Amino acid sequence: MEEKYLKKVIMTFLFKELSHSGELNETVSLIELGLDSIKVIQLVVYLETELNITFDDEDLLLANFKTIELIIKTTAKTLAKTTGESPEGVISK
Amino acid sequence: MINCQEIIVKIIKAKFEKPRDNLTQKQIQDLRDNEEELYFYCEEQKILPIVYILLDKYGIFNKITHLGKKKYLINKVNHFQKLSDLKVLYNSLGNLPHVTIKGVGFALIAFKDFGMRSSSDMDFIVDKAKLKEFKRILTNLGYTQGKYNIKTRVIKSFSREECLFYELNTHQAAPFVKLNEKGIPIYIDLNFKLTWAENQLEDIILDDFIQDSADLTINELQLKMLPLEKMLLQICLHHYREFNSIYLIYKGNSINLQRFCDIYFFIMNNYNKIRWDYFINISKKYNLGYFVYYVFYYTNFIFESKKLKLIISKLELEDFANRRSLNMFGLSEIERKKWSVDFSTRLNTTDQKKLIFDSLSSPDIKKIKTLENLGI
Repeated sequence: MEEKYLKKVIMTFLFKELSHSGELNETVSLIELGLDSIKVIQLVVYLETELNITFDDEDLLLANFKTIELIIKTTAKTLAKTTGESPEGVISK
Repeated sequence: MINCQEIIVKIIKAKFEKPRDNLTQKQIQDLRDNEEELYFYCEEQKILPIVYILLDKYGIFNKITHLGKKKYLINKVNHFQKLSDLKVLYNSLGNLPHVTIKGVGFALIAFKDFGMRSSSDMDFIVDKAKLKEFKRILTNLGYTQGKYNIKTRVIKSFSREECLFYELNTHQAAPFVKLNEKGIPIYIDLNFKLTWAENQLEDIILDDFIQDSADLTINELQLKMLPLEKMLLQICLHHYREFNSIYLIYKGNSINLQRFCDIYFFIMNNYNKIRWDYFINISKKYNLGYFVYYVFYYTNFIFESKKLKLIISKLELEDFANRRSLNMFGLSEIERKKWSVDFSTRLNTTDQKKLIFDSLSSPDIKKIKTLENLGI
């Protein structure tokens, strides 16, 4: 999967739910932009539906979803488990 | 009018503390004259079976003897049933690292008699990395992550959102349930955190915490339990949460004598077996000293025990004390508020929700409503 596509999927959710327009830095805290625990649940369900994956229990920590960079990393880890690839190799630049 | 708390504390202390200060003839007569009041107090504080057992030596009372005995026997039957239900699960767990907490094992160790304490769910501690495997075993045994409806007698599965809410916002996975052969629901809670969701600082690897588990054989079943010191630490953390969570206080009198009896009986019945230096060391190691201090402080506030005072002074030497926070509630910095009444008032009121209601913020109410809707 292309990183560009994964980012687009994530951004679609964030723009809609956080009412944020414009560029979002990958390392900025989404909690400060309004991503509360209920919205994280919606984000997880959205990503699971869009990407046809299921996050593992051990990855279900609020801390894993607090920046775009961490969301990509956690999602890549889950995708890798599904496809059998390495987390580094599952997302292409 | 009688001072119910004072009388109950006296009866309980007479079991453990010297001099054995039994009730006088006049106090016994006062109790008989005001039994209705004492009975309702015991029900409110969830200590009827304890008081029934301890009052037995003073002869037969009306409601306390008859209804206390009934509750005591129901607790025993329920615990035997739970042991029977657990056998099947234990046979399937193999070497999967876990421990059983609270419930039947705790009741036996703390009270030496598991009729004196009730329990509802069966609780396990399991590292989050092992949850998937534990869930698979439970599913294979017919358990579902869901809720049993008493009226319709149907188990309704939780949605993915509800399961995620538990995983991301609480210390446990969404509860598992199945009906046993008698049609009674068996609930299983898998705890993957020692503290609570609001405590973002907890970084305890549970596989490490439970690695020195010890077997306790009850009714031919070997339960994997924590050693005494960790068991005490875990129950202190559990009760600290009950005494401080805005949701649990709001939901219904979570500060009650039964919880303080858990701590007091556990300590008194096991005082010489507990390695107190080890207990203090692990509290320090996991950065949980303040929570322990809070629970010990108020247990001693109620029971005024020489043994407890000795431990509290050791905890104070370790800098676990934070006296300013003793009059606060709330589990996170953002939720923390000062109590408007003293400890005795909050312990003895029949409506703790009323005591905190005016101080709750809009986010507090939103959180409470979300948890209420989930029926947690």
